[in-house]
Amino acid sequence: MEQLLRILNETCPGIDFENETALIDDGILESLDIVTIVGEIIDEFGVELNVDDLLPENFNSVQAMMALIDSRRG
Amino acid sequence: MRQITRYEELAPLLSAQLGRGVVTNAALTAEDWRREIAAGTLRCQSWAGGLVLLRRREGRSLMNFYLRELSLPDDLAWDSPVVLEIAARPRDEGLLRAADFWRGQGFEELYRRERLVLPKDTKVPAGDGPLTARVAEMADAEAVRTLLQDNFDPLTGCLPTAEELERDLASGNVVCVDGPDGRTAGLLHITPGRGSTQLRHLAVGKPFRRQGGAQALLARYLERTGFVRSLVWVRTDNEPGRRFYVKNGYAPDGWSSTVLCRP
Repeated sequence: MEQLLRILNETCPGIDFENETALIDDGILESLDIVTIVGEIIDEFGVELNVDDLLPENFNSVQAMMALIDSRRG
Repeated sequence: MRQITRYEELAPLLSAQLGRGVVTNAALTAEDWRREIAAGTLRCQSWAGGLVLLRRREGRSLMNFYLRELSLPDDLAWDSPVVLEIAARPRDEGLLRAADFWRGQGFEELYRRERLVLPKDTKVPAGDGPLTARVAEMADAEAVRTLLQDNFDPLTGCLPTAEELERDLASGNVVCVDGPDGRTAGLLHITPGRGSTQLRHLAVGKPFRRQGGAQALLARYLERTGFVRSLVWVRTDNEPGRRFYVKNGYAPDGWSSTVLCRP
């Protein structure tokens, strides 16, 4: 989780990722942010993500993103 | 460029672009891409350094890109004309460099836009003008299409295809006002999003202007969408439009865009 938070804070500074639970629904993160975040996640965690993973519900909270990453880990 | 006929052809090409440092202007969903493919309007060219996608429309193509580096293959085959929009915030340095790159590739800047946002739960007055707004119906399709064509540039005006407009009318995504003779006098067309809506077109026909039509349309649209957050992109040279939105509580949120065209 710490690793993910570091990525998020570097990619999209100024957002309270630990407490926000509607990052997409409240317009805090945009769809272009998702593409950037996914690129960082792929490189940082060594997981494979594909375009069909770019669903708003997978990026609405840091918990949702972590669940996506965990589901892709071997 | 090759025609994409199945989503299964496109998905791996898009997935291959997901990586650190890739710059893109593509905010389309899987559903958006599937619609393009079903309509036979999508072509693309991929290479080690990126991917260019062209969505054919009447009289032009709309371009989306993914670039790992700011270079193109020598054999990239262009349609004519091609329209490209790059939206970015001041901190999106990669996208801003990409805009400069495309200018060097024969794309000319047509205009810039600024995004304005109205917070959720903001109500605006309908005004006391003579024009009353209502949700448009399928029977209004021809009048709506005519108003759009009369008021927006066919090259850059993001005019909906016939299928898109039919879908939007069926979904209640168009609000209109009628003149005293019953003719459609104005329209407001939206794209719904998750937790927000984007105001895509707002126009009142010339004979009906200065009668509060735009205000009535805006109030009805916000009510129709449950007062969720509302986004609108306004051309930076459209001062009257900008004043209208700001008067109603919209404010810039830091996003701006450049619209470019390769003739």
